[in-house]
Amino acid sequence: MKPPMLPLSLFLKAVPNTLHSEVLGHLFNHLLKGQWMAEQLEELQGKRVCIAITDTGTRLRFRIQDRRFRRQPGPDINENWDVRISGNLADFWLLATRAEDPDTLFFGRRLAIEGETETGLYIKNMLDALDFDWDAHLQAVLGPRLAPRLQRLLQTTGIDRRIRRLTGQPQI
Amino acid sequence: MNNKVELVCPAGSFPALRAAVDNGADAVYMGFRDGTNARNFPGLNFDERQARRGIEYARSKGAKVLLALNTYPQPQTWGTWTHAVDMAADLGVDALILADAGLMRYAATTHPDLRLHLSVQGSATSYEAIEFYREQFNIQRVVLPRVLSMPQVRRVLQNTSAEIEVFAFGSLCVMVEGRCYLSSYATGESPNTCGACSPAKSVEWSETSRGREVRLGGVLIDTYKPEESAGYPVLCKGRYLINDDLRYAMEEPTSLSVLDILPELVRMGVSAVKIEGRQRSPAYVAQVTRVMRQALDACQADPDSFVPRNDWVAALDKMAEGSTHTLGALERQWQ
Amino acid sequence: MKLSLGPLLYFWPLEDVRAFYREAAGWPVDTVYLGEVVCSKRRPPKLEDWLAIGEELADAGKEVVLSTLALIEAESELITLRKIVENGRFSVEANDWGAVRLCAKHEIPFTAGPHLNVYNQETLVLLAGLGAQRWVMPVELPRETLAAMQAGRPEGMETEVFAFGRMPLAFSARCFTARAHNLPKDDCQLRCIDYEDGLVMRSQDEQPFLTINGIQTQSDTTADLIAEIPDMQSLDVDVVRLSPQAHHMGHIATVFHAVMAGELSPEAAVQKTTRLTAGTPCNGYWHGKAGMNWTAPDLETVGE
Repeated sequence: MKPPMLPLSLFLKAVPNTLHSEVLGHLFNHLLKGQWMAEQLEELQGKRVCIAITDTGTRLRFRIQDRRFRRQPGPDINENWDVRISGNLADFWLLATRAEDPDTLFFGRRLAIEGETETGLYIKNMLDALDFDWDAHLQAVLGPRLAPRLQRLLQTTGIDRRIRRLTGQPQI
Repeated sequence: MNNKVELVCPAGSFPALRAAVDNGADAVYMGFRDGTNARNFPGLNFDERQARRGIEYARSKGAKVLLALNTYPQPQTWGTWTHAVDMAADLGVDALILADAGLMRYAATTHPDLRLHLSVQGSATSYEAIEFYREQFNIQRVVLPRVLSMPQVRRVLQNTSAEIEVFAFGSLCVMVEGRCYLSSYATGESPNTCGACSPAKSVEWSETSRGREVRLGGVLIDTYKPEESAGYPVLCKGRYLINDDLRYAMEEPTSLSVLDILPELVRMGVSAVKIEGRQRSPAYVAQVTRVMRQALDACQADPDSFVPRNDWVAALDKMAEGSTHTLGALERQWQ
Repeated sequence: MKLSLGPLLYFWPLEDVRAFYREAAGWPVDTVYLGEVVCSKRRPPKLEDWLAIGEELADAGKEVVLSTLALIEAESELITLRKIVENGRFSVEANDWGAVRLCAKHEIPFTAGPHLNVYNQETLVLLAGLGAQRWVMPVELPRETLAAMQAGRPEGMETEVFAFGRMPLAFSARCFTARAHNLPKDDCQLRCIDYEDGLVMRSQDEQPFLTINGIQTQSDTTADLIAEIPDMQSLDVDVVRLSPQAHHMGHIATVFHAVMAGELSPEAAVQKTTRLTAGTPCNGYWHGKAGMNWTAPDLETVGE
């Protein structure tokens, strides 16, 4: 059974795309801090990545510059990205928290990659190779005020439980 | 059972290695970050520092580390491969997995104490071929290509003293490994030369009104309708026209799974079962390793009453290419 | 430089096979490779038939070599392999390492076939030590690698290049011809006998792409390196291989021979041969590109 997505969907819809990009960009950069993988971002210098969350209509666009993910403004048209990864919100959360294997989502047609496949694959493999503690990063990026709210949202939607079960983390 | 069958799991990154070890792998296999291994994809694999860290972690939990150097070096870049052999010896890996006879010759003479395995890419499909590698280079273990039926696997086991490792789960090569040039025919790069089948830079996905189209080297290899499961963009799993029939001419997107015949493989005397997927995520490695560990333990404890649990099958199918599985060549009807 | 006729990769009726080689006896080829490389179920011709054809060709002054099966799985195939190695009359082209082991054991000089994965000098030195006298370059290797291999090849080792024909690209346990006819491999009814040049597989936008030949997959395109003959001569290539197709082989051999003898310009020759190929011509591998590519020789830059 799929967890009800309503509250988080509403939350995402209510917040403008630019803010999501901002938060996610910070999160990516924080994840990469001190990681061996950050060195590899140099090979992706200048690449433009679009994350399209289909069920909420969210479009997040980044440009990779100087080993960082930077938010990229501008209209959402094809010429504006090198690779676009699309899927629905629940699957992106599973992906972000590494509870689900990206290829599995791809085989099941829940994720799509368009444009430069190599860039998409590179980013996917890099994120896979990151070593991180999700809760700590969420705290660090969102701060003590926002992080618990997002955590609570995740809990009410049931995603959190699903993530913990899939990753073998202790259930709370 | 008197012989313990080793569970060998893929590690494309440190988190994947940790996932394998933590979920019960007896051994992990990894590659360096270049064309010396057959999963040479961007963002994957280990540099020297990461490899050291991985080996340290595996050892701390009692798991072995095997290093895949299973591509075919050409004269212009020969030094890259011998350097990789030397580096692996220096790192102290438990074994090298090699495919190229010339490189075996180098490894056997330069590092006589280093244990050598023959990669599936070495294409040894008969005991005569296996005995060749054993006599020449003291190869200790051979990974069998996925082209033999069960009776043929048994026959191999009866006629060689080398250990035999078979694939247990993962994406399936339809062609005999190490002798397939389909990828280089369309893209210029093959597993043998570059360590990549269907390199990402030659792959084009496009979402069209007809469905998801995939091209390799400009050749349209398939179109997926919205509800259809997709697979990797490899030539052998596309749909083509033959005599005006549109069909999966070679194979459909599917994965190999030997759960159903695990007891037979154990009884036959295979030394190890291998999980494919160094290109997959830590989540995949964790889930598949956990299932295979449970299955192998159950099977070795009591092979006669072993039945694959439904939740195992479901968990594996979910992660399989095409979301479905096959016994492949092990089952004669498949051929 | 010598010209060779590679093993017949298709399954033809026995009479057609005999007729083909009776004609070949009169073609300007120095060496003829005989035997079944693809599928052990393709009989006749049996080994005895091949040996008889070999005698006729030897009488016509040809060097005869028996080629072994590329993908060996069954015990019966090992038995045939041993018979070939111990035939006592003709030399052997070893197409897998089991065959190499047997040739070395019986101290029989052999040719290292195109399916052996010889990618570097060390492998070549190893083979020389085991009794190989000739090697056939794997079809996916480029000219650049050939040049490097030639620079360091062992004493007395001949080099052969696959220069004409649909290229063998892969082997499988599965028979794709049987599959195309919805037949299991064990009841294939030898349907590949219906396809003298293999069965073409087209992409969904109607482009011919690959050729199904039983358990073997070939290119749809036909390799044609006739324009590279002068380059091969400068690289000291010893043998140029033509892989049989159903039609025009005598004509093709004659044109290749004329270029090798300096009697015909490569530019003129390529005009002739590209009209005779079963598929459209290709030479991508030679130039280090995707194998299916074709670079028209007149567009090539000098010194490439």
